[in-house]
Amino acid sequence: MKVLFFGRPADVLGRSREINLPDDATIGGVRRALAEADPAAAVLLEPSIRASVDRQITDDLTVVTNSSEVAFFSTFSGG
Amino acid sequence: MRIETRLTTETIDATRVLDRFTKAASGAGAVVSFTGIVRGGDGVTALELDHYPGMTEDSIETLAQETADRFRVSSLLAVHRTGYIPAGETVVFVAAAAEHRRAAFQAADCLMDRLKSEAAIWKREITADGGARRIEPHDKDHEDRRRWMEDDGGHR
Repeated sequence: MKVLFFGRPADVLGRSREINLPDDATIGGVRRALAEADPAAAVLLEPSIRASVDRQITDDLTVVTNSSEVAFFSTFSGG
Repeated sequence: MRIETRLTTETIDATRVLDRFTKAASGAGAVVSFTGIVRGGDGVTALELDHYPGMTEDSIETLAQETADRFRVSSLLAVHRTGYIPAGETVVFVAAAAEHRRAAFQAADCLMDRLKSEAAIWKREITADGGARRIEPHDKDHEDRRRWMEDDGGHR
């Protein structure tokens, strides 16, 4: 599955990563799988880093599939 | 009620956008606009704004819709630029038209405060030495946002 990054996560991880769907196929599971595979991805474990599935902001319990578009991002700063 | 939101990587000509908005808002008694310009100084030469195609447009549209629903405006416009924006250029433009001035002032003010912390945009300052510094909303921005969470909606 493809995972996108914006804001601080993108600064350390780049724009996206391709990963295998983790056994714990939830947003929280994706966070942990990425962080275990790469120490730089520890940023994803910070509570302020939010997630979306198919462009809808969601929480860590949301179930994901191989076709989900998952993104992790830091606080918005528009204007 | 007319609501228009736009995301662009092109230069925003605020004077022209306001002129067009005002002409289209015929019948309104008040037009208020805000132009946000990239501040130079402290070695900052530009801002770089990243966005998430699809989600960012939706977030700005939702904020404009909610703002228009809350205040008595006849039209509301938000134009946000993304990408590399040199100091001195316009990063965001908001305009509100209403029958009376208070609603127009409040709608423009509220929409700007909400865009700062709720539009799906990520900002970095680019400095003359080639460095980049991530900008995240500070306490003042959250305080500004909270002004619009009061039940009276700032109608004091």
